Amino acid sequence: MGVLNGIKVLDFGQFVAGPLTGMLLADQGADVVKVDPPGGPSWDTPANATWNRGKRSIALDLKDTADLERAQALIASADVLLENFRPGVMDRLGLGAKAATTANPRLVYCSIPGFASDDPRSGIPAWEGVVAAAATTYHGPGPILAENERMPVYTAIPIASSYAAFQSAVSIAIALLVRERDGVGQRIEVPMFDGMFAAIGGQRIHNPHTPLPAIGGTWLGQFECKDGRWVMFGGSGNTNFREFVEAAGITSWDKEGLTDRERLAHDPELAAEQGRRIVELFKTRTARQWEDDIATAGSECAVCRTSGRMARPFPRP
Amino acid sequence: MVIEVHDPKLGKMLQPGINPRLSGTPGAVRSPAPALDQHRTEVLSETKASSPLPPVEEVEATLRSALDGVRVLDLCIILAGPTCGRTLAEFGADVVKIDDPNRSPIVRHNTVNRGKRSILLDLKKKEGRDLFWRLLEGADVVVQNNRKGRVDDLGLGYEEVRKRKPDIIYASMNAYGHLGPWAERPGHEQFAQATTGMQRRFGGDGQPQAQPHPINDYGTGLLGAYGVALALLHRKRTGEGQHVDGALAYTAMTLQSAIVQDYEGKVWDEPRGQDTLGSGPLHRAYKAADGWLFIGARKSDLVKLSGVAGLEGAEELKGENLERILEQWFLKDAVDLWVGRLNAAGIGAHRVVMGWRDVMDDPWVQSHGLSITRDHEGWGPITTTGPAPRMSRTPVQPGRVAPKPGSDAHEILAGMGMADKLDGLVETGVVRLDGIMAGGD
Repeated sequence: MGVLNGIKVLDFGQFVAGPLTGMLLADQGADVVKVDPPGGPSWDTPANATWNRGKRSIALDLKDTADLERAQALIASADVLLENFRPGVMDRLGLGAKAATTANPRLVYCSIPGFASDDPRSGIPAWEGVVAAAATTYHGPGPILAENERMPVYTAIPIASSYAAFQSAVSIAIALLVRERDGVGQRIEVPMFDGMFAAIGGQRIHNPHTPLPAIGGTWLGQFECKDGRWVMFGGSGNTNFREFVEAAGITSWDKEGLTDRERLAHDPELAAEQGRRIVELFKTRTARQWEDDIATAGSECAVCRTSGRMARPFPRP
Repeated sequence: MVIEVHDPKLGKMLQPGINPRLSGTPGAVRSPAPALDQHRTEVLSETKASSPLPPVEEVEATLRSALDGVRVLDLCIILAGPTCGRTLAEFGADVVKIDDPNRSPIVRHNTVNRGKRSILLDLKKKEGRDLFWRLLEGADVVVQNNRKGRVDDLGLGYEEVRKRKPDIIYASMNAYGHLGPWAERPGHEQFAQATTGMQRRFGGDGQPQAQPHPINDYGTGLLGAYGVALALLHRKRTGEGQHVDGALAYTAMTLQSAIVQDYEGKVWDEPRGQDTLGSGPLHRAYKAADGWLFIGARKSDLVKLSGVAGLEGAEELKGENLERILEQWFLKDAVDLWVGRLNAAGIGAHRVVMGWRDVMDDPWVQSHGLSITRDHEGWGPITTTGPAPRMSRTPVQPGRVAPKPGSDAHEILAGMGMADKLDGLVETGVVRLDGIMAGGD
């Protein structure tokens, strides 16, 4: 069973953020009814097989009076409503947050627009890429180039939509908890743009932090191995560095100072030599060997896999 | 992490698994995705059976925050775990952050530990653990993200904790989850990216590359908070506590939910590499005279696009040709001019913002509490991000600024009637009052 067994969710979600939120609720037991237009979801993608799993389906033409009344009847007996239309769309249909929570005071009504209802950009069609571009998601590689010389880099991961979905799921679960206490639901809005700030996090903006201790040398990053595959390796800055040195068989580097990270931080020549050596070192074993050897020793190393290999080596529940 | 589903359209397929995983109420994928309108009759019949509640006037915001009275002990390090506690604090929980008095600095402390109280407590010492058990007496939730086994070694794992407090909600987050042969492996953000395909996709044919933003860290903290909220709901109804299992690699799969389902005949054709600008001619970045803009539109918008001054004739073009011509046309004018014209025509478009400072200094962002600049003890003004969800009755709060590490020890002990013990605990090194710094990236 799931925590949300018996919770009735009406999921008007389209594209990513709404349906993904609905999936997070359905996976935990909620009875999610997906409401789509008569022609089907606005985006016909194989990902719908994931996002709509565990849901039930009804097609309603919200421009048709009879179907609109059906929607209102469904809302009257729902616990949660999800929608990610542009601000104003549900209001114009008479299904907006205020109307719905007045008709059904126990309803938790969650809107997930691209830009907030009071954002000057609320009227823009807020595709994932448009919101993500506004929220620095495609900022490209580091501060190496001047702003006007930098190229953006697109990512296929819908970060803004997903972060809005994650925060919507938290907010809905907490609103249901509050409803147990207070007896009434509430209105929630989690704009995708606003939700991106959780992903931006701390980036040293007006933030004169203490720097982390200087770590010299190259001990973090992707390295090409004997078989041409790459590993992610990160034995620095953590407590597992000695485990790596031993598992990699480079204790002989100690007497040359090549594993003395503090000294490497102040000796550019030595650091350059260590950088060359470690690139060569990784070419002496296959990626899988490195992964096994380092992990067995308790340090951090993993083969850079494709998503197509996602099922391996992890266990399936 | 991955589950097998028999989809009526796609056949046997793999999908991202259930995230987070709750031990007592594990949830399930009860059925594959439905066919359109499959449940019309039964869904509509259920509405007739139920009688709607009488409408009431809008209820004003409550004075009590959502998680008022919920007490959290936060043993987390780095980013993912602390984000879980911070999120709970934003909804009003009282979160006591317990940090190691021998580990300095605390990574991104001011960002991930705002809204909490701070104590530096040595859990490797018996007296430190004794104090933890005292704190546990008043706690509802324990959150930790140490490597699997580490808290068990200290005797602070879920099984030990539930013996003393059976209804505790105990959330654990790690790199690869708490099941199977990888459960004990250490790892951080980059390892979740490496093992689930993110780095290979982002790097393209060359060296695998890291995605911008620690999306698995912060995402795991948010989904961990979702798990804790669900567990609180379950406990409210049944009195039962449980274990919440979260992991960076679970989150990485959920974040890739648009891409990673695998089935017979699957073509892995999603945009990849360091020189990719979008997913097609109508959803990509274009260079303008003075910067970059991103446009989002569908094929059916081509007529509207053709109506934009400077883009006349776009509707006659297709695919690569459309892309090449648009590349030339957009170069001719400034970003703001294009964005204004496109938006006026009903086309989604926005400047591609490259610098964090540009969004953090934006007046709308600041006035909505998404970027907050406040004085921090010993540092002066520091800017952090703020919470996004807007709740009509129980508004979220950014909470107090991240405390100077260790500065709440007296208050925390006094709350348990143990203020007189503080000097002794400091003397023996069990509690430390200062000397641990708020760290940078």
